[in-house]
Amino acid sequence: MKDPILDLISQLPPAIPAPDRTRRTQARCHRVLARHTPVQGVAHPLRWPAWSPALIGLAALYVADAMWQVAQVYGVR
Amino acid sequence: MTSVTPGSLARYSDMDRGTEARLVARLQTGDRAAFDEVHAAFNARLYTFLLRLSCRRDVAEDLLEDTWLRLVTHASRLRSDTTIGPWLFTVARNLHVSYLRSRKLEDAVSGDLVGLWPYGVHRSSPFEETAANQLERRLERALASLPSRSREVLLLVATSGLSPTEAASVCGISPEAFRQRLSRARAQLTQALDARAEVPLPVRCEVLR
Repeated sequence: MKDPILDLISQLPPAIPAPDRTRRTQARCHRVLARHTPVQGVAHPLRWPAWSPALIGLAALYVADAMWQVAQVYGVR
Repeated sequence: MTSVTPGSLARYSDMDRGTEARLVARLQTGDRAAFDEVHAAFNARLYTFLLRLSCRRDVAEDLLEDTWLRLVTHASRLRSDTTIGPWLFTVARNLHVSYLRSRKLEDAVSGDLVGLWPYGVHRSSPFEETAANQLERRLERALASLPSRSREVLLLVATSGLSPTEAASVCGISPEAFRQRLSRARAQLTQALDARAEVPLPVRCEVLR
């Protein structure tokens, strides 16, 4: 730094916060980080499983068959 | 805790961008070790900045804690291109501005300053120690006599380790406006330092506690 005024300021001794307070702050920050950490390896609760299209297809077939049978019982074709 | 000396406050811009991006990515996932790395790199700098800005230890410590808490609560939402130093100093500076607004301390004129630094830098002889202490006290007094807008630009450039462009972004002004503000602040500080030694400078900060 070539500016003499800024150089003077930069040579002032740095301040050090109280160690106890620093430790408390760090511990508090760790707790907040732990609370906000996204949970790894858990599927999204609203995500459909991979086999859901097959299940939907089977259900549709079942409903269609049931309706077909009802139509036959009541003679509706 | 690592010891801190004036020389150890290396320029923040020396940090490799890749290293910083990885740190940000780890912070986003809540990595405590990443937080500790950032904390170790910036805690003393932020505290020094806040202490000289507020001139009060209790206020500086409160604002420092709030700054770190802001980082951890926003960690998961940090953008991947976030530059940590300017982000932290912007938060610290804004917290101090809010504090000033709430307390309206800016125009308060106080008596004598007490020693700022709990741990002094090692001097090689008692004479050097005395001379250095006198110069430091004069400089601290001169800094404390400036308006906080002037004080913050001088501190950001001289002690934060940020580049002038980054320091301008911390203050929310253009680099050109920052340059002008810095030039005015330098002139004010020079004037304050040139004032007769026996005439006490008006101190805008509250008495340091």
